[in-house]
Amino acid sequence: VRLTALLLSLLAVLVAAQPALGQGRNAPPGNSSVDEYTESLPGPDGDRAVPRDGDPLPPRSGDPAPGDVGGGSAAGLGRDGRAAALLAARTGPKRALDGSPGAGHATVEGRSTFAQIVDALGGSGAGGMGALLPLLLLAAVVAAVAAALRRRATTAT
Amino acid sequence: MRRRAAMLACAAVLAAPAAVLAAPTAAQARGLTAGFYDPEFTGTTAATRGAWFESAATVGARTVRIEANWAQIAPATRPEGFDPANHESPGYRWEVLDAALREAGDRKLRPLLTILYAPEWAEAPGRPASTRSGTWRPQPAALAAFARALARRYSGRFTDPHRPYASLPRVPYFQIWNEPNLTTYLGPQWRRSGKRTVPASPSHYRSMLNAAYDAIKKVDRKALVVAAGTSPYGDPGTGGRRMPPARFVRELLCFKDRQLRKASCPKPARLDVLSHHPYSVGKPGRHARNPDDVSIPDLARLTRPLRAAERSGRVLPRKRKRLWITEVSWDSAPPDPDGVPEATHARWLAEALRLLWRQGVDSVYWFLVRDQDPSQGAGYPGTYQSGVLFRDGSPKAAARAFRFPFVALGRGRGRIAVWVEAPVKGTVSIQRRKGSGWVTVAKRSARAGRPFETTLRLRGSHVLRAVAGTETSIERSARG
Repeated sequence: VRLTALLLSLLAVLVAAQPALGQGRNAPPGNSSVDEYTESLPGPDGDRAVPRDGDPLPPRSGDPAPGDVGGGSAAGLGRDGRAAALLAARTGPKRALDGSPGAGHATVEGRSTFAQIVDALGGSGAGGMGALLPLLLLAAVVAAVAAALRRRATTAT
Repeated sequence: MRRRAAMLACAAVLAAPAAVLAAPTAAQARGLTAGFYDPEFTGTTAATRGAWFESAATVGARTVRIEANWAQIAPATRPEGFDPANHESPGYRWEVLDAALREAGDRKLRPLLTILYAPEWAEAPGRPASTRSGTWRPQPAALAAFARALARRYSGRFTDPHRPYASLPRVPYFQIWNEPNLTTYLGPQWRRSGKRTVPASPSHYRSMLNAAYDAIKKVDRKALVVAAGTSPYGDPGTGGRRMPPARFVRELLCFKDRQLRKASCPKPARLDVLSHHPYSVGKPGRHARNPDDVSIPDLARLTRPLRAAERSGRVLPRKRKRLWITEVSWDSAPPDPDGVPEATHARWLAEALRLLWRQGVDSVYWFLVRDQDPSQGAGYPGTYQSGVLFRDGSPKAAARAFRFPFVALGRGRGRIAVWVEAPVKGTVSIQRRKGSGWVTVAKRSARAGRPFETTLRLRGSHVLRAVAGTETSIERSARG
């Protein structure tokens, strides 16, 4: 009973901590690397710090050089900017595709339950816990099995 | 007593047919015009352009949103004697826009021209290196000159250089800028005032809007000027790269806060239509989490200050402003593995149209006729597969939902609400599946582009559809 309570507590803490660990952003389905149309959520301590407008920003993939809409990933270009980037890419020399997901945690409404569970466990978006959550869950299961085996061994002796 | 009961019974019998098709709401009289915005309209070869416009017309669009990229049309450096208000001035490059408007006009698609991106000479000095060219405090006077040139060229009175026997099409709608609440399109969004960070973009945008409004109206009094086209989500707090749209609109209309306390407003915004882009991160009915963000069901966050501004003279001219959606969509799977399933995509499109119409919207532009190509650029996560057609032109389920939107929603106690926009004028039949066939449960005369909503008395679960002429809508399940 004590072990079960411990495991449940651990899970509760993990669930509660997830928004803080994640970046608190919801992206439209299918557009996880598009910054402009993600929904920001205030963190547990209120408003998050955001890049200051007009100040020099840290380098961000997709921030185009002035007048350049063809370089890097298309995040930060807006919809028409991405179209221009596509056009530039289409008419320019071929290069390796940049399919890397960006900073977005796609809300999964409309997707299969299995995909949602996989995403939640694996943290396919920035809002998940990445590999940490499955590792913690695995560790908890191993600990539970070990405790059960130990108790059985103690009872036998 | 018995006589009164008999009269009530008679009234109930007389009212029975009316119960099948409930009384129309005030919104019933309002139309809904649907169209597309697709950067390919001005982006690629003549063959592609023609195919995209043809696709738009085929699926029933009646309007198209086309970019007028000021930075691409105007010369990068002004030649001597360049007059920015004269569209025939040497240096202007109109070929692509002329061709797009010709394609639209040939298919009777009414164009909305969106002016965006200033040439460098029309920006204020001091643009930070991190900010995109064409977005830094565009000069209102220069914008007005360009708007005047546009309005003159597309007044319907200027001879088409490629068709000397015809005029270039008249443009009835002009949108001033795109998503001005994003640094991506207009900067700065905020500025320092002493120790405080205060909004900067709404007041600058108001100057741009008013200058362009006057210029366009001087040429074509009947043309409509569309404002804003705000993006749906902002960054929390102050100083971010995205101002929440409701905050932006309140500031534009000279309101201090959500209680709509009035600020001084010496030069109120001048506009005919307010527009917005309510992209959703979930299903159509999902509300935005932040109080100043505006997703599909949250339009009251914009219309409340708008109506208050109409009453108090904080927006001019003093008449009721229309509300348009100049972008909205979701990506579908296939082809985008993270998009919404194709059937859901179609259902959500129709539901979005219904929700927007119910909130007073009368024009909606779906983002993309055909999917973008993910193999060029940023892959699926950074490109859009939100077309109602796949990239090769084959239709998705959404194509039928766009052409003939139909929504059925169970209301409980034996009632199902249906919402229909017929693609053609005539009788619309609402049918339910029975075995392998269909039976008509209600009929109503309808006009194309005039949606109606009604309630059916149907118990249990049903698969429903609408039929108009030879066309059938998508099917919907609902439980009464």
